[in-house]
Parts: sequence; structure tokens; C-alpha cells
Amino acid sequence: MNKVELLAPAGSLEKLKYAFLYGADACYIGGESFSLRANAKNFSLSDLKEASLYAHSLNKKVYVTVNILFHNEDYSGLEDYLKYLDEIKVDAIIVADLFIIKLVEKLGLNLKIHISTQMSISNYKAVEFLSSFKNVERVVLARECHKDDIKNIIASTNLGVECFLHGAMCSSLSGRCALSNYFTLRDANRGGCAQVCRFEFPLCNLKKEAIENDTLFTMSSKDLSMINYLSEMISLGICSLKVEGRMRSSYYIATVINTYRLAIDDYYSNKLTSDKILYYKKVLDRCANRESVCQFFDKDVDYSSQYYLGRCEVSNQDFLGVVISYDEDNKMVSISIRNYFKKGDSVSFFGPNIEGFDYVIPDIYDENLNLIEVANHPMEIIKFKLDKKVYKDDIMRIKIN
Amino acid sequence: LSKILCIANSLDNFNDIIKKDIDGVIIGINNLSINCSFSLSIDEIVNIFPKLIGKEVFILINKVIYNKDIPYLEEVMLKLNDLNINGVLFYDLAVIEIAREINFKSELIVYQNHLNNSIYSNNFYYDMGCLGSLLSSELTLDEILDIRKKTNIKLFINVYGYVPISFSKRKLITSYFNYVGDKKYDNKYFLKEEDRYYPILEDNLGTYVYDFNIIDLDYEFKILMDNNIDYVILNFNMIDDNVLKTIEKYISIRNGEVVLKNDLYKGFLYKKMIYKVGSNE
Repeated sequence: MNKVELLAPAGSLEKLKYAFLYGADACYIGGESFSLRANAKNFSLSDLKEASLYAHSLNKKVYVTVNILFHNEDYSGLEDYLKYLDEIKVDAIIVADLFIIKLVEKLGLNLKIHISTQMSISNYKAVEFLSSFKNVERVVLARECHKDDIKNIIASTNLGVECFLHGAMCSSLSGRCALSNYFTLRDANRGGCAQVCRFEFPLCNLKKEAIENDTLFTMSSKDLSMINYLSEMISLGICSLKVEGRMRSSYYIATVINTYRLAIDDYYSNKLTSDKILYYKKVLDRCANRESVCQFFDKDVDYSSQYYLGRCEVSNQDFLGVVISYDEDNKMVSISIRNYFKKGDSVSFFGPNIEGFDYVIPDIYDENLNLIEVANHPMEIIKFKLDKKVYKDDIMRIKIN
Repeated sequence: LSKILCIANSLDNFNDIIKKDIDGVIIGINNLSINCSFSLSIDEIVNIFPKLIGKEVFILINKVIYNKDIPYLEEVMLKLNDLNINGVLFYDLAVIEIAREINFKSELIVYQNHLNNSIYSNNFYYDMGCLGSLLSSELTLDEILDIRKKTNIKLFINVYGYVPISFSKRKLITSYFNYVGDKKYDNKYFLKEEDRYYPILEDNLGTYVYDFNIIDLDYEFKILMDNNIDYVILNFNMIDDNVLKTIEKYISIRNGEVVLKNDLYKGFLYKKMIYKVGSNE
């Protein structure tokens, strides 16, 4: 049986390295042009090359989003860009505008193509149409598909089927939404989405009188979290499980990818118990700043999948620090601070090479080994005694009970 | 000359419209059409078809297709294949696949509201055997004319009506009222943003949001005709007022009457969108 792919977002080289380090099998990334998330940092041409080389050195994969819907003016440079992606041997490109399928063929490139969720593919006939192109390797289904839809599509095609596993949801069907265009003049389908579905509006009746209520209307949906359905997703035969979030932090990527890595590995070794799922869910919930549910996988959604509490996205302060080094002789760890902590705080360490463990912070020292009261300057380096061995880039966070 | 196609808002409206000197109609079909308040069953379309002699007839199949819809979609397309309709306006790629399988005789017209923005996507669909396409309502006039110059596909442009701007499978109005514990009195409301009111509608398939104003490209119709745009669409979905008057206005323009440049709502025709903001950090 092929093991399902864990596919991570990466908005920068640093995040890509975190994603791979913490267990992703593949990453999807965007270049500086032709990619949705136009306002993310994105990858320069040399970054793309480095990402591809780095992924392949780990025997992992990298997919590049070329997923805007092109206007005439956007075409310039596309052919050279595709040739470059082919030359640096990225494993696939993710496209929404289907003309690229034929363009890749016309240019004689070896690029494999994944069809973006922007096309809202939701049925086996559409997949059959796409399978007639020899360079199309995979479809990313619409997030609105029920598990029965996914199952039937997989049963009727040889193409790989990728589904979303975790992260933010659009309220509308991808590709069928131009709210951003019409409310803010920012083109959603060229990467400028202003997330109008998260705005609040007075809802008015047919006489254009506002409905009187303390809660304003919003289309905002809760995030997606499929940890409770992971086993079912894998057993459907999905080839790749995708985590959303190219604009998310390294901590978020590390936590989410690490958690799903553990859960997927548990599944294949028959160790994914309900207790473990419960714990993984807690970790994922702590890491995000919005509520998450399973959305359309097992039902038609109702108000419980919607978000009516305004944009109360508080910044996450669970992420306390990153291990810079570990001195085995003195059993002393050096940590780069991310959030406030002090002596006596209960924390957890986790990382790709260690079993996660809890710890109570002992005396804290600065870099010159002066005793300090608290760690409260982000990016400053502190040290403390730690008996268990940890590695560079392991993460220290608040203990999750 | 560009041909004028109309989408009616009701059966009565449809019966009035077909008496006018328009070139054709676009008819919604039950359970397969969205953004279309008037639709018929396939059998009703078969029955009504003889009344439409002299008019071009296009069928609208633009809902999101799920697996469970496929048998019905196949049945409908087989029946349409026996009628001499001019074409099917479609959104979902399943329609192209089924058309191939049944050797569909009528034209396929790509009708993907926001997706079709360039010479390149139009040429792709033309090569796939689609002879026509609706251009996105988010294009500027210059972009439309540029596409026209560089493609052979028949081009359809929405010149009148409320532009649909989003579709969600979620029942957003019902959810809201359930959440706040209030009663939903209607399936249509408005989202208020500053002094603009965007219609929001809900049905059994989900929720639709429309632009706040009716686009009316009357002055531009002449430019579109002069530049060989094949079809213009007057869409009366959600519109009850001045339907016949509007049709007559467009017929007059088609027949040579000059309309001056005006302040009617033109959507994105003269507005360019942005997509990169700030310093890209």
C-alpha cells in the first residue's frame, strides 16, 4: 500500500525547511509571479531552485503553484518560467487556468500537472475529462466534496486525488468567488483576495432596513480540521492530504505537520487510538487561532460550521522558543526566545528527532551565563539546564494537558 | 451585428420576451441551472421548443455538478441532443466529457463567470471543441477587445443584469438566523456596505451574492458590435422593472440608434483591479 502523502504549505525557504524537518512528504510553494497569495513573500527563482534541490536531497517533493487565472497582461514571462521550473525539476505545478496543460505540452516540458481546487472539481466526469491529458497527474478536489463523492471519484480514475486536511476555508466555492474584486477591487483569482467573506455586514430586508441584532451577518466559516477523520480519509485512497496556509508562521507549520506526521504514522502502525486523536486535536486547536471543524466531509454544513464572533484572531503565544544548540557535556540547552516564559513554567519540547516530553523551566541564564528572572525579549538567546537531549530546531511550547 | 440573447425572470416574462425581435433566449433547466430565477424541466423545454422557431435557443447548465447529478445530467444532454438547440452554456467540465461521449451535436459554450479572462483560456476551450465562451464580467473593455482580436471562439458578453459575484454551498442566510435565534422571513436579503446594498439569495443549493447595481452597457453595445462580439446577454434574473423597455433599447441600438456615453453602472469595464498591495513583505 502506498503511504498517503502529507503535503505542507511553505511561504518561504525557512518554512519549507521546517515543514520537511517536521515530517512533510512534499511542500507546495509559490514563485513571485503567477501564484495566488500575491502578497506573501514567495520564492525567487533561486529560492525555487534551492527548494527543489533541498526537497530532492531528502527524497521529498516540491510542487509549485502557477494557479492564477490569467488575464492577457499576465502571460508575459510564463513560458520562460515554466521552462525554468522544468529545468530545476520541480515535481509538479499546480494550475487553475487549464490552458497551461496544453502550453506545457506544446513547450515539450516534462512538468506534471496538478489541477487546483480553484476549479472546484466535484465529480468523476470532470476528472475523466482531465485524465485525457497525459501530463495531468492529480486533481485537488473541491473542499465541498462529501466523503461519498471522494470515494466514487477515486474509484473511477487513475489520477491521484488530493484533498484538504487542515487549515482555513473559503466560504464560497474556490473559483466561484469574486467578492474581493467587487468589494475591494482586489482580484481574488490573481492572488489579491481580501477575505471579504470574513467581513461583517448589516443584513437588510427587502425594504433595505437592517435586521436588528447584536450579531452582524458574516459569511465567515470556521477552519478545517480532519484529525478526527484521518483514518477514514486515508482508507478512501486519497493520495495526498493537504495542509492549507502558505502565509502561516514556521511554528504553525512545524506544529501542524508534526502532529499529522505522528498521526499518519500511528495509523499505519495501528496505533492511532482515540486518546491519541484527542491529544492531537488539542495540540492542533491550541496552535490555530480560529475554531476548526470537519466541514463538508460527512454532512451538509450548518451554522455550527460558521464563525459569528468577529475577527477575534488573537496572536498565538504558545510558541516559546526554538532550540539553537544543546551542550551534551554540560546538559545545557540554548534557546532563541519567541514568547515570554519564566522559571517554574511547564513547557513541552517536540521535534522531528525526539519523543515529545514535558519539562518545568529551571533557572534561566543569559548568553553570558548571568541568571535572569524571565525570558521576554523575542529572538534573544537564553540557556538553562535540560537533562534530555534535544536538537537544533526542536521547538519549546506551553505544555498542553 | 452582435446577437441579443435574453434570460427571463419568469414564465410570463419569457412569453413576453420571445415576442420581441431578439435573436435568442437562454433557458435555465431545473436542478442544473443557477443564477437563473426561471427554469424549466427538460420535458417542458421539449414542449416549448416549437414555439421558438426563428430564435436561437441556448440551455444553461451552470450549477456545481456532484456525482449524484451525473445520471440526470446525462439524461438531459441526451434529450437535448435530439432537439435542434443552438448550444449549451456550461460551467462544469463534466459537460464537455459527456458531450464527447454522446457525440453532442449542439455547440458548447463555456460559461464560467470569473474564470475566463484571457486569449489563452479561450483558445484552450476552442481547441477542446467549445465554439463559444462567456467572458468574465471582471474584464475591462480593452481586455475584451484584445481577446476578440486574437481568438476565433464566439464571444458572449453580459451587458445587462446583476452580476453574480459568489456562490457558496453553505446556507448562509439560514445559518445566520439559526445562530442568532431569529426567524428567516425570506430567501433574499441585502448585505449593506457603506451606501451599497448587495443582494444575497439562498436556495436549496446554497447562497449567491450579486453585485449591488445592475450593469447596463448600452453605450458600449455599439463598440462591442463594431468589434465583432458575437452575442450579448440581457439577464433579467431578479429584475422585474423595465424588462421590455430595456430589451427595446438594446434592439434599437442593434438597429442603429445612437446612445451617448453615460453614467449607468458599467461594472469593471473601465476599472482595473489590483492584486498586489503594500511592499510584498
